[in-house]
Amino acid sequence: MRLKKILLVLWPVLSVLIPLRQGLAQTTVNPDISFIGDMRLTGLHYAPPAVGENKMLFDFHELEITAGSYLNPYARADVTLGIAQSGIDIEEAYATLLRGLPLNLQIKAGQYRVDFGKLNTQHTHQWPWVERPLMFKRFFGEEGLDAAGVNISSLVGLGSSTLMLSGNVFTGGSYWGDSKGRTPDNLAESARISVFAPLTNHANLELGISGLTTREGAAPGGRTTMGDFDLKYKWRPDMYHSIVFIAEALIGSRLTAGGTEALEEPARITATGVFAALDVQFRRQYNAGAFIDYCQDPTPEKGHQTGFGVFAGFSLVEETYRIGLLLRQDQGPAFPRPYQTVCLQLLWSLGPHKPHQF
Amino acid sequence: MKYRLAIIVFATAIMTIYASAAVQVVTSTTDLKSIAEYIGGHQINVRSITTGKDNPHFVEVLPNYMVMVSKASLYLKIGLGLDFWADPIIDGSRNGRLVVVDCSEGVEVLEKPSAKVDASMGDVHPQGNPHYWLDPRNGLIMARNIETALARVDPGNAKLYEANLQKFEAELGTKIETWQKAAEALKGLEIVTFHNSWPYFCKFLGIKVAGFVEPKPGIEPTASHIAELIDLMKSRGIRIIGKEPYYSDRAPNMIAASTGAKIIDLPPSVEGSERTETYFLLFETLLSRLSSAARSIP
Repeated sequence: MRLKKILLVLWPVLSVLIPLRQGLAQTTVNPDISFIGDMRLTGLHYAPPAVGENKMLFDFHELEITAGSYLNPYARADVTLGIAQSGIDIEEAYATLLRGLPLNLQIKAGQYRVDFGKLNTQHTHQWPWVERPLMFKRFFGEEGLDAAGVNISSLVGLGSSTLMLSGNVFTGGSYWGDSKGRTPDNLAESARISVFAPLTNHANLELGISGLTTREGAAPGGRTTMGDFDLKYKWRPDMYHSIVFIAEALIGSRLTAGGTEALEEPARITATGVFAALDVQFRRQYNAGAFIDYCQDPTPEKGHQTGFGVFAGFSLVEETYRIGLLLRQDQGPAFPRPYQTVCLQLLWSLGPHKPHQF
Repeated sequence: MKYRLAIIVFATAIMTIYASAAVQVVTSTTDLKSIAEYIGGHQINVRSITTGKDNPHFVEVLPNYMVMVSKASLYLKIGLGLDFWADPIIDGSRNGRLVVVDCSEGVEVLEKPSAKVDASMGDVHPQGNPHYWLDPRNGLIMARNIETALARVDPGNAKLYEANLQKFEAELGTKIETWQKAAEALKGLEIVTFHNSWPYFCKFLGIKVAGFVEPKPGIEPTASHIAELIDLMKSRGIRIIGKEPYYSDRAPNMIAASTGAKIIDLPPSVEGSERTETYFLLFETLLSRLSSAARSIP
């Protein structure tokens, strides 16, 4: 009886591990490999030296290489490498146990983009507004929140809607704009609950709420908590037209231990960020839209930056070749006057294109 | 004694519910759904990811599709690279007991590339043209594949599925003969279509597609290509443009205005338009629209 109980508990684990072991010998098929190139011609106007030079510059911004395939009938692995002038970065490298687990669970382990909010999970080439929103850059660094850890997720049907639950334990995120402050010794935990609801045959809505907590690396003894609310609406009546509205708000709070030059006494610092964008696709190949991007500095000085802009794009063939134009203005107390950015972007994708998840 | 009786009644009720529970089947397209419903009858409950009005080449991966598949025992794919979007849906469903069946198994595939395929050829399918369900003779092969799959996931009803398959084969066999007789008048007809969806259908009817509105599969029409197509249609007297309902009217209208051709909506899938509610009705409607367009040509 006891043996039966043990087997019952171990069965889901064994059902995954046994094929994994066999899979090592059977993996003879090449993975799907794709290359995504991102070349930009960027010009700044009235920008302070800290932002960049006020002249037009060509910049091969990044080459992203992705590879992914099944390891066996139960698991797959995916790798994304980012190659830029500054070097090679492992953006993502993880294995996912897809099926065979109880409670409709899926487990992902490795280096991956943490699903704290909706936009953080996406790569910048998926957006016509070119840059990662300010709040992710300020709170988590240039690349947003990618970290090494474990993600457990599940899906639950609620009538025609879907409830998505996800939890992460990870290390390696950088917080509060401290780009050097990788904190491998501090575990962070995050969770996201979201609801996907089809409103009509052609319109869908997703609402999500995320929370994150970690001991802060920059000031020992402190603690960081963050919350995020996201919304995505998409109307796509046919393959020639669509409207996407996406909005996300982030609030972060940290109780610092004090004892630093900037902050002598322990204190709580709270900062917020908001991003919203509207993207309209027409005649299949064209799109245009606008966005607003605001973030408070998550520092004792409490500055802020506001950006807004418009964009337009042309896709010669879907998901293979896209030319985009971005006009953006940024302002804030840290800048002597508002500055403008003009960016002409060429994106291309070589390799098997995959459908994006909503 | 009372407790024993209650347990027996409860167990019987549970067994009855379990025994009568329909097998949950999800299909990529409505064509597979229609055939599966015929073979499975009341023993199965079938849902399709795409509607007949959707372009099956482009489907967004939505979480509610994943939930749909998570409850299924069987997933029926078109295969040949058409429903490549089904893989992330199946993966996202987390369903470890799901049986996935590629219904193209055994079909004689047309336009299988003999040389290396790349994106300069447009959205060419490396395994061959995937629109094989549009030859009703392939419907017989698909039905056999579906029957085998249903017997595998629900062996208790295997005999019923076999009996339904025989009925389907007999009914479709008769209709194929009728349609072929009706298509005698269309033999040798040349038409232009928007996308390369129709090689199987045209082979079955003995008609020919002389050109496409798309310069290459999946590529939007260009002005130079439209001009070439107009010249071709004028020189060969082609007066019919067949268009799938999900493509734009813009380019076909321009071509029709220059050539005097008639544009007909050709739904390539079940439930793609009125009177296409089943796999049989789809062919009735396609044949009727094509025949009436051909008759109207002076």
